[in-house]
Amino acid sequence: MKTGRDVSAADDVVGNEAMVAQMRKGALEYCVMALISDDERYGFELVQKLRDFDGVVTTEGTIYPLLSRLRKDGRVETSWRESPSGPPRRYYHLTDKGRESLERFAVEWERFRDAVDAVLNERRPVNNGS
Amino acid sequence: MATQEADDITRRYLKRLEKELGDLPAVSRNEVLDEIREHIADSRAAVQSDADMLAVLNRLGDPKSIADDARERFELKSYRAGTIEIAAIILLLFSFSIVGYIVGLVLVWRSPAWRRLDKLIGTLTPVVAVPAVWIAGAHLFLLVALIVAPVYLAVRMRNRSRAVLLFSLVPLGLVVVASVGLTVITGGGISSGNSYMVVNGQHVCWVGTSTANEKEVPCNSVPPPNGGWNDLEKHSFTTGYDYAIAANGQHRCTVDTPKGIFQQTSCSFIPAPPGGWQAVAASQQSTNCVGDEPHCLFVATASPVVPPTTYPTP
Repeated sequence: MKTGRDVSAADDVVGNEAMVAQMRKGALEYCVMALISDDERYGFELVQKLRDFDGVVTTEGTIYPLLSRLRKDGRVETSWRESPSGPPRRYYHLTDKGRESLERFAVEWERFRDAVDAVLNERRPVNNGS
Repeated sequence: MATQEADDITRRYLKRLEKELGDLPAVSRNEVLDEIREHIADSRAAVQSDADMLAVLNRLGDPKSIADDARERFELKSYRAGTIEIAAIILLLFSFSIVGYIVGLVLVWRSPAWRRLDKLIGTLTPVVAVPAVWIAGAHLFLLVALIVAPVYLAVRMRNRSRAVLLFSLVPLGLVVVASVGLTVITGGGISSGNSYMVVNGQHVCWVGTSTANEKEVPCNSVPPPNGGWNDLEKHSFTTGYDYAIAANGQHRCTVDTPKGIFQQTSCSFIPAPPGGWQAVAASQQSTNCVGDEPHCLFVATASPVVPPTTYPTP
């Protein structure tokens, strides 16, 4: 991917990566909320589930502060359950407040995604130049 | 199966993570650490080799990036210790006044650069030392506590650069060097020929037939007066600037605490030498030692003060 790029192009890529990271971060909390909206899950289970969706999480460790923050906000609740092996586990599930916040995001996201797609499709086909 | 080495790496990873998460609210920090420990434990079951274990940690991410992300999630500004913290420590070390000390403490308590426990330790160390002085007369303990507390705070400051630590502690180093240097120059030691000696760390002896010609001399060169020297120890610290004059009929000796450290005392605090105080000319008397002059002038013993036959040469 990086072959043949000059330095300034590489800088642009760095800027891009930071932007993508921010977008990912913003969307991640709703992805996490979505995954516990129907079933309650424990942390590791949630992380494993997220692995099924390529590109959503890059740093798995960040899921846990996120869960803690969501719990502090009252969008997520936890309950302790016995585990078949080892100590009891924290299971996370969505609260009503969390569900409301998730639904609002889903609507906004859909509109935003469609709008961005439409704008991007306005472009003329890319000319790769020399 | 993962080996001892993988265990060590995991332990170090968790330790670093704990440190990096330092400024998160304690409840959240413990929650996150618990969950990540569990994540590692759960992953471990499937781990075949050290490399697998490293891959697990790798996917979890660098502790610093987890912490940066967490701070952002909790809307905490990552704080870098700087001028305020240096000012606080310098005030604690060198204000030499209660007001300055309190201002220093206020700055410490308002700064996010210290954990609450460290703030408490820094604040309470000298406070605990104060009653120790009253009860046991452990003056040195208070002095040490007053130095140790800010040094402790300087070392425990979080998110500080090396420069900040340096700026907080360099003045302390300078003072130590300067005071050691001064002690050497002014002849703080017994061996010094500079006719100056600090007795038990606080007193200085002056010898002469009158205040006009008295000189500072090593106290151990002065023959003790009748009944021995007066013990100033009990009072010298709290009352400061004390002069007690004892005499053995041949010469008078003034015992002094270092000037400039303490401001004022009443001469009545000074224990009388054997034989009681001798009256001196009214013009020379003073009941309070204020500033540099005049000092409390009392001469002990009823016998007349005459020049000594063997007079210690300063």
